[in-house]
This record gives sequence, C-alpha cells and structure tokens, in this order.
Amino acid sequence: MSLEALRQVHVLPEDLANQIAAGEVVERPASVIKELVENALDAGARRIRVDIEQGGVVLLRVADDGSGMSRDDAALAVLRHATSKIAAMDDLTHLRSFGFRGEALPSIASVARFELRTRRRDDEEGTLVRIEGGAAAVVTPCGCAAGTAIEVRDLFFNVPARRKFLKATGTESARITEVVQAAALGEPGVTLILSRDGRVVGEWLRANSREERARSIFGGEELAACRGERGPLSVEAYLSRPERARPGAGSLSIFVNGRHVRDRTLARSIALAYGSVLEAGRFPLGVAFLDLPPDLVDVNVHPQKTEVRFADGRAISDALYKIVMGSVVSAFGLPDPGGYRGKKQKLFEDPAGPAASTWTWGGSSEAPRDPPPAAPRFDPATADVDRVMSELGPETSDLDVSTIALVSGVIPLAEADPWGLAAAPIAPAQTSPSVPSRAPAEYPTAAEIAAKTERQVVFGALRFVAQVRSTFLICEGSDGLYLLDQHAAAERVTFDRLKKGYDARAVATQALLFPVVVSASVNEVAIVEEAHEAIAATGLDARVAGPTALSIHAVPTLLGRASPERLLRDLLGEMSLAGERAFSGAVDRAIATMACHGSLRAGDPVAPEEARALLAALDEVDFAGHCPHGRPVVMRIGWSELEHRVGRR
Amino acid sequence: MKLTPLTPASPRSEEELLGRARELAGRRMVDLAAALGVSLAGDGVSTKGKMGALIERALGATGGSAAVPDFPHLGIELKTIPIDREGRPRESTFVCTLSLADADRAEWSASWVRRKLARVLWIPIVIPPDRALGERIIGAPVLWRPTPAEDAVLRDDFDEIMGLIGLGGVDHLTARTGRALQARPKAAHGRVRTAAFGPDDEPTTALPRGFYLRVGFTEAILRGAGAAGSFELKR
Repeated sequence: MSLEALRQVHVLPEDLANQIAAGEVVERPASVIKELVENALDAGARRIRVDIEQGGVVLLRVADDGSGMSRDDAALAVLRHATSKIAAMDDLTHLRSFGFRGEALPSIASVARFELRTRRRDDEEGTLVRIEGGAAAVVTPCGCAAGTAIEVRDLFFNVPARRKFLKATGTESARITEVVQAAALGEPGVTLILSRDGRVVGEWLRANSREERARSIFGGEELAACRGERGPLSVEAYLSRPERARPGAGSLSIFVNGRHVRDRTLARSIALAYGSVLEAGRFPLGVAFLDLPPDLVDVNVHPQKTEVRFADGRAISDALYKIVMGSVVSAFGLPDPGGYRGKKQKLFEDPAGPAASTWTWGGSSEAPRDPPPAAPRFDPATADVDRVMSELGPETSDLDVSTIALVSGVIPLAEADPWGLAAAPIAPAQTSPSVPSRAPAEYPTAAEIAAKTERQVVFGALRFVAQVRSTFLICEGSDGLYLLDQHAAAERVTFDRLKKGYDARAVATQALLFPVVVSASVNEVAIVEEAHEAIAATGLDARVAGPTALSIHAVPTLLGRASPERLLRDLLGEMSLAGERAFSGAVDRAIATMACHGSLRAGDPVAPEEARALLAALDEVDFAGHCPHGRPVVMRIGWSELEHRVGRR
Repeated sequence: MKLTPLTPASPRSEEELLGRARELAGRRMVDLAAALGVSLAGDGVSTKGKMGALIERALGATGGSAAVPDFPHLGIELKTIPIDREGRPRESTFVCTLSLADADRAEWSASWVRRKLARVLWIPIVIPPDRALGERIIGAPVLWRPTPAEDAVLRDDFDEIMGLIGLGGVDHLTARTGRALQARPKAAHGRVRTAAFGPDDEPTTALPRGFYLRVGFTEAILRGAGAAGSFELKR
C-alpha cells in the first residue's frame, strides 16, 4: 500500500480487524481454552473434554455435550460480534453467561486452523465450519456427536511474531491446566477432562457442591469452610491453614458470580483476615466464591473478562474480610486480627461486636444503633446513588455508598447497613471433614490443640519437666507430653500483651536514664516526625534529634531486654515497608517483630520458675497455637502414641 | 582385565567401553581402588562421589564435571546406581541440576537433562547390608537409550515440572510430581538460594533443584536389560 493510501482513513479489512481483536482475546493457548470452555459451559455442557498437544500450539480441542447449534447459528457464530448471549445494552447488566462479546471464535479462527463441529440433540446431521487463518468460513454437513467440538490447530501459524511470545511447552501446558482446573472449581456440576499429548492428566468428576469440588481439588489440604452473607453479597470460601500460605495469590482462586477473576484487592482482603499469623505478601491456598446480583458488578472491563468492577468495591472487600476472618479465626484458632486501625478503621470498626444490630458505616456516629425491624431493604440497584455522589462532590469519594445515602436522605436512616452486615451472623466455621486419617507419626497440630473446645489445653496445669537444647520446654500433661518452643511461646505472650496495651493505648513504658541517639535516614526521620504519637502508643518514645538522628527516651517495659535501637529499627523497618498501609497496617507486624526481638530466645537458659510462669502466662493470652509470625508454639505427643512407639501397645 | 594405577585412555567406541565395564563386573570396590592405587578411606558423605569417581577413572571417562557427557566423543553418560541384592535400586538417581530462572523457556528437546539421558551406561553397585564401601560389588553394565515410550514419559514429566516452575510455582513443586523424573532440592543446606521467578514474574530466589530418576524407572531399566542378579564376585 502506498504512503498516500496509508494516510487516508479507511476501514480495516475484516480479517485484519479480527487479528487485532485476537491480540486482546487470544494471548496464548490457555486463553483459547478459556474462551472455548466458557462457551461450552454457556451451552449447558455437563461434560467437557479438553485435548492439547505440545502446549496447545499444535492442537487445542474442546468437546462438550452442550446444546449444540443449528447450521445457521454455527455459520453466524464465527462472525465478529455475533452472539446469542446478549441482544441489548440492558442485557449487560443482568449477564448470567460467561461470554457476551461475540469476539472469541472469529478471533481464534483468524490466527489458527479452525474447525467447529456441532449438532443439536434432535438434529439428524451436524454442521462442520472450517476456517483457515481468518479466511472465509466453509460450512458443510457432517456427522458428529450431539454438542459442540472445536479444534484449533497450529495456533498463530499466520502470525509468527505472536509465537515468539509463547513460553515453553511445559509452561503453556501448565497455564492450560490452571484454566481447566479453575473451570472445574467454578463449575462443580460439570465433569472436566484434560488430556495432554494423549495422556489424561486431569479428571474432575461431577461433584454435588462447590465444597466437594474444592476439597477434591485441594486434596489432603485442611480447609476452613467460610460462609456468610452480607445483604446481596454471598460468600463461600474454602481456605487453608496459615502455615500453608504461599507467596503470591496464585493458589487462591476467586470467583465472582462463577467467573474466575484475578483481583488483588479481594485476595488481600482474604489474607488480611488471617491477621498477624500471615506474613505480608503471602496468601492462603483455596478458593472463594462471591455471588451478588449481576447489576452490582461490571464484567465488561477487559476483553478476557478476568477483571471485574464492583459498584462498591470497598463494601465487598469489607464484607469478605469479615466473613473470612470470623471463619478462619474459629477454624484455626487464630487470634482475632480485629480491624484496620487509623484511617481505614471506619470500615471495619464494630464497637459493639458482631452481635450488634447496626454496623457503623463510614464512622458515622449519627447512625442509629437499632433499625426498625420493619424497615424496607435497601436496594443498591435502585437507590439514586449517582445523583447523591454528584451532589456531594468529589471530596466525598472516600465515603461508602450507605454513608452518602444516609447524609442525603435517599434512604431511611435505618437502612444504613445496605449489606446487612449487622444482622448477618458469621457462619460457623467447619474444618475439612475429608482430612485423611493421621499416620502414627503425625501429631495434632498446635492449632488443633488450641482449638479444642473451650481450650482443653490448660498450660498452667502442665508439669514442667525440663528444658532441652536451651530451646524446648518439655512438659507433662494428663493426655501426653508437650513440647514448647520457648521463644515462640514467650514471643506470643509478649505480642499479646503489647497488642492489648497498644489497643488500650496503655503500654507500660520504661524511661531510659540516658536517651539513646541513633542515626537515621531522612525518610526515617520523616516517619517519626509524622507518626510520633502513633509510635509512642507502642511504648517506644522516639523523637527527632536532628536531620538524620533520632533519640529514644523510653521503651516498652515488656521489651526491656531488647536493645532500644533494635526496637526502633524494627518499627521503622515495618513502617517503611508498609507503604500505603501506613502505620495502621504496619503496627501488628511491628509489634510482632519487636516482641520477637524482645522476648526470651532460643539458647537462653530458663529456670523452672520462669518456665512455670511462661506456662501460666500462655493461659492468659489469646492463644492461637502460633507465634505472631505463624510458627507453631507447641506440639503434643499423646501417651498412647508414645506407648505405641516403644512397643507397649 | 589388568587394572593399572594410571587412568586408562578414553575408549574409542561403545564396544570398547562396554567391554571395559563388563571386565569390572563382579569386582569389589576395595579391589578396584587398590588396582587404581586409590585409598577408600573417608567418611560416608563422600561415598557416593568416590564410587562414581573410581568407576569413571577405571573406564577412562574424560567429561569430568564439565557440562558434557562423561564420554563426550561417544555421547555417553556414566551413571553408577546403588542396588540391593535383589537388584532394586536403593535410591533415586541424580541426573543434573535445573535452571529455575529459565524454566518458562525450557523445552525437552533442547534440555540438558535429555542430553544427559540420551545414552547412559548404567553401572549397578551392590551395596552390602553393612554398607561397607570396600565390600560393594560392581554389577554388570547396561548401555541404555530411552525407548520412544520412555522418552515420552520423561518429556511429560519434564513439561509438568518445568511448567509449574515456569508459572512461578516452584514452591508448589514436590517430589510427588512426575512419574519417572522428579525435581528435588539439590543443595548443601537449606539456606542456599538460586534465582527464580514468582507467580507474577517477579524475581525471587528459591532452593536449587535437581532432576532425579525415580527408583521404579531405573529398576525397570536394569531389569529390562537383565542386569540385576548377575553379581557374582570375582576375586
């Protein structure tokens, strides 16, 4: 094409437009599988088989037993923007299907050798649609099973530049496995089979519930069942113990209305619900299903539909956090992480506890505590929130929907809890019933011990026997031998006391006879300058002593054994890392780190009186079986197990 | 074969190599060491390396620790494999380390592990009950190349392992992954780290891993070749 011709505006040829669209939809073989499997699910399939060869580059085949298509529909389906799933704009807000853009099939067909075979159950013959690299479709009759089978060969054969972006066979295959497994997690009622290079590598048989499917996919993983509802939002999640957490959210699948999405905010809400036992950046294994009316979530954000937008993302995150927190805390015996502190406190603060009848949204102290029982439910879909938002101006953007509505009078005061946060009880947590029976060599975990009803383990009642390796405390109990990690136990006690003191703003401090001056970076000085009072609440009195110097005037009494400088460095380190979480997000970890460095350590000799005091102290803390960093504190070996091991049984 | 203290020249052909290996069959390690003028004294930790080194020396291997087969001109890798009296391998067989950072680009066809396993001379070593190094007996050699079916199994395992690592899931990798080939930590201690990538392609570090062949796979190789059982002692 000449330069002159290029400068003129012209409509792109159909095949080129499809190839450009394919750039968004068909990124790699796994995205083809995702689109085809979603189409199969939309067609009501009960059984889907996926075959791939050489990472999907050579062959991708998805065959289903869904409704199939007529010949006319099959011919239309491969045209751009042809779909049976929506007809008008309004349909987008009530979307129940995975697909709706009408882009997937033509996009795929434009960059591969494409064959579609389909037959409706009552049709005598099927239809074959064949397209090579975006050329015109050839439609012919054919014999085939009821349902639809799509074969995609030689992906990107006509756009070699795209092939360069593909990873190795193994990696592309693994991505496909992820996609099919995610589909299996999201659709328990469907059997999915994945075959790689002629070998079945995954078979997810039809399950009766999401829970059954989740437990089969996560195998022997102990999963806490988290269920709850907040107004229109329903949450069902199955999540692992904190010590099984992994870096990154890759092992945590999140579904919104059955759609697998990647949403770091939701993943973070789940991780936060574990509190201090989960290190920042680590996420539990498992799956979370969020279901809410389609008009409260926009799926038309990204061509691959892996992102969604919520009408009120904060309310969703808040509700998810609360539901998961309530369940994992009771299932795994974790300390209650409470809510955010500082600026975010308003979102999670519940002064009257979960049983209170009204949730305080947006920190509005004017909200009545008890709504009239007959008050009509708030319907976010019909409330004129947009108008209120525009009237209140941009500075109100930090407020949540219900607060705004409350101020403006759009809804009655009694409806200040649009998600029903106040009344909805947190579903009692269940741990996995399918955890395999224990081998003799495996002992109950610390959390199991701690989680026994009403704390069956009374540490103060244990008889201290000895300290070994200057690290472990051996104790005798009525039901077995207890082995405590002395540092983890002491750290837990110190952390708990410091945390309670901090929450009550009553940390006992010990003034230093001579202030300790330490050098600091400009950034650290700025942190102390800005958050002096918040830092002081931890019991550490640190002040600015110069452009690059800080002075420490007091330390928490509980941490008297630690170096003041070390404590300050711990605190500043956590605050520097906290970033957007600011002090509110860093304080738990800072206290945990300070408690770690200020507590009895491995290698320290422990006198019997000290050991007994530590045991008694453990009974007073919100004991979770873990140190604040997630390490188990205690291990029990039952007497019967010991007898078994020495052959007495 | 009369063994000399000097390292023999590298064999010129597969037949010559196999002939030398057959000559070693039935000998005790202590006799081999004596013939080569080498002491067997040492702790248990270095036992494995010592056995392999003695056999390499006796057969004239020249590859050393370089990233080439032990007999580069023949394209043959030498693997000693400890077995019990019944011919069962006692442990999995280390093949080579793997690069975690390059896993997302690693193809079986061009992989180092495939080249290592393309042609292998297996030398079984019968371990006596007391594990005494000197009393270990060299077994009959097996010169092996993977059949198409074995190659397919190894490729599947390789793709599965490298796929998982390629997606940033090195932490998810367990020794249970893979039917014949498995990836396990290969480091002196748990603090050793090597470059890797996380789930979001972020650079990270992880414990180095190596490829190992499972016992069942190597046992099938030895039994398939009829090697197990022919361990009469030569004095």
